[in-house]
Amino acid sequence: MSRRSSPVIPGFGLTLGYTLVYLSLLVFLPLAGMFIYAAQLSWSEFYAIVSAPRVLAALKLSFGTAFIAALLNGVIGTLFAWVLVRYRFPGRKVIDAMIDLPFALPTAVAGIALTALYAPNGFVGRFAADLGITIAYTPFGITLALTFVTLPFVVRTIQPVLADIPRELEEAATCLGARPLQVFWNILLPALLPAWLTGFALAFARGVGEYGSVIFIAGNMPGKTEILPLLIMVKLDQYDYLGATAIGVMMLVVSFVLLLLINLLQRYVAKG
Amino acid sequence: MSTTSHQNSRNAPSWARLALIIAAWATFIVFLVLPLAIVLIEALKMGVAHFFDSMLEADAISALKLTLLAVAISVPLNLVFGVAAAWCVSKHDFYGKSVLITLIDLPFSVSPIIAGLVYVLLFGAQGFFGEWLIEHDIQIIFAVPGIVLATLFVTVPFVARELIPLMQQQGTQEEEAARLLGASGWQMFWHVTVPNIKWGLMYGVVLCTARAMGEFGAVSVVSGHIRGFTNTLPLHVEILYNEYNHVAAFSVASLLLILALIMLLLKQWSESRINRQLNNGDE
Amino acid sequence: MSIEVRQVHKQFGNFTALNNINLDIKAGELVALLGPSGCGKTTLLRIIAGLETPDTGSILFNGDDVSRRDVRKRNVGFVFQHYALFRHMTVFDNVAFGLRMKSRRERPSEAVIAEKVQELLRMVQLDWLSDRYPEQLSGGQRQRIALARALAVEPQILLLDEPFGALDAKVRKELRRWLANLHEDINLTSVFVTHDQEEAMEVADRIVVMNKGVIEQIGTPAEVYENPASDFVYHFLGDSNRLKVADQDIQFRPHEVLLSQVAVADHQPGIVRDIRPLGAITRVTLKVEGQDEPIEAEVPRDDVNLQGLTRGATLFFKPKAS
Repeated sequence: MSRRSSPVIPGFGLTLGYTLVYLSLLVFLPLAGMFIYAAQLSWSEFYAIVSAPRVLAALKLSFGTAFIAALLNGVIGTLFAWVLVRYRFPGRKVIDAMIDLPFALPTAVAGIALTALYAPNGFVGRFAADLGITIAYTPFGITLALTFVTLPFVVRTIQPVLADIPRELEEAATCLGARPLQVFWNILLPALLPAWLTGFALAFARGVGEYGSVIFIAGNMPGKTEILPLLIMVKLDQYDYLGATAIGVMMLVVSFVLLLLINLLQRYVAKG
Repeated sequence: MSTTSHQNSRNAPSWARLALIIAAWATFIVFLVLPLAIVLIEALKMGVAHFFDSMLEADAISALKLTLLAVAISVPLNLVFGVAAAWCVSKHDFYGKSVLITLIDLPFSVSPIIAGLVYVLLFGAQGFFGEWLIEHDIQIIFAVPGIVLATLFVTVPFVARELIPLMQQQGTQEEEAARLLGASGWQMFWHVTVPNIKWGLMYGVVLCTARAMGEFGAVSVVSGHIRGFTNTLPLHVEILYNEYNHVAAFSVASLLLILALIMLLLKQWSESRINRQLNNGDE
Repeated sequence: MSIEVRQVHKQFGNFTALNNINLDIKAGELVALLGPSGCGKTTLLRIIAGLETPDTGSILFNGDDVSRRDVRKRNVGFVFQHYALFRHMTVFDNVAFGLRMKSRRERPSEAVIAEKVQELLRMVQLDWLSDRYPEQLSGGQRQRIALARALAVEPQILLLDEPFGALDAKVRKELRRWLANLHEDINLTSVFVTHDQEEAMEVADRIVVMNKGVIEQIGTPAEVYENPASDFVYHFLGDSNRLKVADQDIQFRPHEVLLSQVAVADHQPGIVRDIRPLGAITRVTLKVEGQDEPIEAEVPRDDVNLQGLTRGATLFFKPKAS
C-alpha cells in the first residue's frame, strides 16, 4: 500500500499494523477457516447438502421473509423519516429517540415480547384469531418480528439525506407549477432512492441472519417455519459440523451476491 | 444517526400532514411501544415480589456476571481497535483504504450464528485446534472464553464505524497545527484529537455495550447453556422461557430492557453533543 | 533567518505541482507567493514548513539544510487559512499550547507562560478575549489568535497560507494593513500565500508571481507592476486592455488613458457603451470598430471629458505612453 499522506501526522504504521493484525486474528482468519473447513467437501457433496429439501425450505423462508420485512420497512421507514424531518408535532422527540430501540434491545427480549403479543392468546394475536388469522408460528409472524428488528435501518439512512435536501429545490419546482405530490415523486424520491436502497440492503442483510428475535415466534417446524440460522444450530447440535458449515458458506455467498446486486443497483440509480 | 431538521413543509395540505402524523403515531405504538409494554406487563403478572425474586435468583446473578464480564472485555478491546482503525483511515491516504473500511464492517453484516460457528470450527471438539486444546486441557467452546470471543467478534465495528466519519470530517489541520507548535505524536493525540472525538467515542462505546449485553445468536452457538456457568442474561431468558417460566423470563428480560433504555438515553445525549460540536466548530 | 529554496520539484502522479523552483528570501523580508489556484504556491509553502516533502531539491534556513528535519524541529510559525484553532481550548490555552508542549528542560514555568501569552494577546489587541472559545470569536479575531499562537514559540520564520482568504472583504483589508504594520514591528522573515494581487502589492516587500508550478517573476510590487516579465504577470496583476493599431498590439491599464470629446491627433474613436460611476472613479466602456473586446477606461469622477457624456456618443481615447 503506497502512502500519499503528510509526513507530519504520525502513527500510520502502528495503527495500520494493529488494525490489520486485530482484524485478521478475530475476523478474517476465523471466516477463512470456515471456508477452508467446507473445502473438505467435494462439490457434489456440498451440493447434496445445500439442496436437501429441508435446507431449501429454510433458504426460501429466511430470504423471503427478510425481503418482505425489508420492503415493509422501506415503507414504514420512509413514513417515519418524512414525519420526523418535516413536521413538528407533540411527541416527535420521543419517537425519534425510540426508533433505535430495536437496535439497542437484546434480540431475545424482542423475541419473547413479540411472541407474547402475537401468540393466539396474546394482546394482538387475540384480535387476529377472531379474524381467522394466525400470526405466531407462521411465516407471517417471522416477517413481523423481522420488521421490528430492522425498523431503524431504513429510517436512519433516509433521515439525514432527507434533511439535507436543499429547500430551494422544492421551492423552484413549486414556482414552476408543480403540485406537492409531483414535487415528492419527481424531486424528492429520486434524491432519496440511493439512501433508501442502502437502508433496504442493510435491513435485508440483517433479516436474513437474524436469530434471537425470530426463534421464539417462528415455531421452528422443519420445512415450514425453520429459518436458516436455526438449521445451522440444529446441525451443530447433532455434531454435523460439515453440514452446518456447508449451509453457512452457502448463506454467506448468497447474501454477498444479493448485496452486491443491490449495491450495483444503487450506484446505477445514483448516477442517473 | 438521527437528525432533527425543523423544516415545516408548507407544501402538503394539512389533512395529508395530519394523516401522516397519525399513521406514524399508530405504527410507533403498535411496533415499538406495545412490545415494550408487554415485557413489563408479563413480568409483573405475579406481583412485584416475584419480579425481584427472579432477578436476584442465583442463576440470574451468575448470568448477569457473565454478561458483565463479556462486556468488560469486549468493549475496551474494541474501543482501542476502533480508535486505531479510525486514526489510520481518517488521517492518512493509502491504496486499499476503502477496502479496509468495508472489511471493518464485515462482522456487522454476518449472521450472529455464523459468528459463533466460525469459532466452533476453530476451537470445538472437531475443530482445527480441537485436539490440541483437549490435550492441553483448555476449553474455549462451551466455556467462558468462547462466549467472550463471540461477543468480541460481533462488536468489532461499532466504535470504528462511529469514529471514522467523525474524524474524517474533522480533518487533519488541528493535528498539523499542534505538530508545528512542537507537540510530539502522543501529545498531539491526547491534547488535540481525543477532546475532539470524545462524544463520538462515547456514542460508539454505548452502541458497542448495548450489543455486547444483548448478543444472543453468536453466544448461543458457543455456549453450552450450562446454567450458572455458561449462560449470559439473554440466554438465561431463553432457558426460563422454554421452561414455561414466563414470568421469570420476562422479569429478567425487563432488566435487559431497562438497561437498553438507559443505553438509548446515553446514545441520544452523546449524539446531541456531537451535533452541537459539529455545528459550532466550523464556520 | 534567510530561506533558500534549491531546485525543489514536486509531482502528484502526473501533475507537476512545482517545477524545479529556486528562490532566495532575505532575512526579515515579507515575501508574497502570488498566483492563481493550482499554481503551486501553497505546496511550496508547506514544503518550506515541512508539512510536505519535495521529490527532489532542498530547503535551507540560514545556510543549514533542513530538508530532512522534522516539522517540529524547524521552528516555523504557520498560520492556516481556516485558522486551525483548537476548538475545545480557550484562547489562552491555544496561544499557550506551543510553550506547554516543550520538553521538561525547555519548558518555562506556568507564570512565565501566562506572561508571554498576555503579552502576545496585547500585541494582537485581543487580551480581553483570553477566556473565550474559538467558536465565540469572529473570523478576524480567530486569525489574529492563530497568529499569536504561531508567534508564541518564537519562530524564526512565519508562514501564512492565504491568511485572509476566509474573511469578509472589509475585515480582509483591515487585517492586511495590520499585518504589514506588525511586520514592521517584529521584522520576522515571513512568507505568505495569496491569490489576491491587491493584497500582495499592499503588504509584501517582494512578490513571487507563480503559474503552473513555475516562478514567472520575482520583484518589488513596483517592479512587477511596471515591468512585467511576461504576459501572464501583466494580466494577473491588474485589469488590462488590448488595442490593435495598424500592426501594433498595445496593452494598457484602464487608468492609463487620455480622453477627449473632440477628435484630437493620435486619439482613437469609440462608441460609449456604458458609463458606470464607481465611487472615486468612473468607468467608461467603449466599443471600437474592428475590435472584438471593448475598451475600459477609468478616470476620476470629475474628469472634464465626462460632462454631458451619454451612451451612444463618440469618445476619443489614447493610451498613455508606456
